Amino acid sequence: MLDPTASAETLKAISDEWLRNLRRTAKAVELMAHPAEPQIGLSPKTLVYRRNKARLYRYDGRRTRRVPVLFVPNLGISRPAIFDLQPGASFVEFMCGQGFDFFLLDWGVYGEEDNGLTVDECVTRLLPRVARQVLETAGTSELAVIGYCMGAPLSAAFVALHPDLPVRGFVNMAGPFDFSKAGLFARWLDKRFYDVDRVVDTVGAIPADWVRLGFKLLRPTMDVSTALNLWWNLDNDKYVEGYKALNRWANEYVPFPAEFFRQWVKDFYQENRLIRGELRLGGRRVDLGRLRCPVFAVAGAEDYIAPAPCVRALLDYVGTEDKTYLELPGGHISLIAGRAAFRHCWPRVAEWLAERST
Amino acid sequence: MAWHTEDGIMTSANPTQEMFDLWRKSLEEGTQAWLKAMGQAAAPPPPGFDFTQFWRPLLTQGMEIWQNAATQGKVSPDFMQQWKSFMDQWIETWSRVMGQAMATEGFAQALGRYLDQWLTVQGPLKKGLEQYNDAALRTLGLPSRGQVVSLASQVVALEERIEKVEDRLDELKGLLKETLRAVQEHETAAQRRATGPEPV
Repeated sequence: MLDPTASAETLKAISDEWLRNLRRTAKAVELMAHPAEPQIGLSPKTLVYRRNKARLYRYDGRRTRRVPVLFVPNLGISRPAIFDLQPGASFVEFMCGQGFDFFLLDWGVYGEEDNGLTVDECVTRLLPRVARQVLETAGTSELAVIGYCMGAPLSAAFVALHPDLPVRGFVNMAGPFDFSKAGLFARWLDKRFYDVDRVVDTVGAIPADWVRLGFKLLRPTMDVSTALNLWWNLDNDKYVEGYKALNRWANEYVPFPAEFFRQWVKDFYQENRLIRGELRLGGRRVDLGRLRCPVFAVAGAEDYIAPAPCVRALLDYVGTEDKTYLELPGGHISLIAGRAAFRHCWPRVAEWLAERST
Repeated sequence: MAWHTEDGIMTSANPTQEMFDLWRKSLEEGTQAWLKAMGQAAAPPPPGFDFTQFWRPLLTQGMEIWQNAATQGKVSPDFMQQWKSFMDQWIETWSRVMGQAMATEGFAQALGRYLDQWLTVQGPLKKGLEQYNDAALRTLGLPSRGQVVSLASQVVALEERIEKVEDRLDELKGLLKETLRAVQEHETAAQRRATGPEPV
């Protein structure tokens, strides 16, 4: 109930708030009536290599830096559109704008026919071909590698298995390495409670809905929080556009190939073999100490998927003295999308790579 | 502004702050009870473990807080801002509390057990359904899902073989280049030898 003694200022504030709420409601109705999907992943690119579902893209740009950059994201879970979300809010666009010859590996969406695909095959067969394609296409003798999330341990294993590979720098962006510090996922996938063999033998490929469930469970209040922030910012068109783009990406989950998931959970989450030096790929032991190029690790302080200590661990095992660690506020996605990434993360990654691209 | 609490009547010049304090107190008590309940789940959960239990304390508490808030005092001009901060804090607190609970062995064990039960039911069901579908498709003279998948797998394997052949060809090309270079170097050296040393 309104206070009859309220001042004119108070009444104006209340009236403004009511108007804002009306605008919010009108926008909500508009969103529901015209749920147009925003366009994402618009940066111009050329397909330079394909194998099965995987695609290697080279992005257009000025290419003033000598060393090309190969970006290796996660396999399964989500599509790589997050790295090129919208013009003005795209990691790919930012890196191209900094003069990098930027290549992105899109692992693709795997079907039942790919259930035999393993981590082994990705690291020892696919990544070497992709790296060769990058060198051939760019016409250079060296490259830099950025691994994001799961892409980081996969590409680090690849680089470690090929110490002769001319890698000028390796960037680990939110990539888990020490799985004893991998937070909730490591707890839930503990072999005492989670029988991965039984799961894979029963369901085959891990369905996209399961992947969604796992990630939603990781942060059960996230949807409520997102909805609340959307309501609050409904009268801000720029926010709403960004939300729609991010939401489109966030609701497109991708399944895991059966054998890949089995090996990923067993070797990485349950046995922590990479850090323990016991991981064998292509019949050879992966020794992170053979990763001798300069290494840069970037972690999110509130990352629930790959907690900061789990990301930082890589630096304790690599065989180089040129190693840098950066911990930024925010979570897993805030390193790769959003205003904080644009202001704090991307410039640091670009700067670090630029120093090693001359 | 005044409202009744368990401790008596509360009056304040800053009702928002006190509402938060009251909420925080009730949240802490609720959380303790909830965590205790979750901790008990570390023992084998009863058959038919109900995951909706997980959400109930949160929803109940939120409703209670807002019922209280709705029945109290007058409208403040920055009520919406207060509401937003209140909700943010409420969500953040619950997120932290849930994170703690979900990091317990009890939760992981319950989750594993739930999955195990699901697989026990789903395994034979899936197999039976596949067999039924295959039989139905065979009757209609159509290829089964398994056959289509098998065909696609063969295409994938074929692509891999082609790629291996390409790799070999690249290797051979490399070797050939090296051999040609060696032959050319050899010929040049032989020519130099044949013409003898150049006069000084």
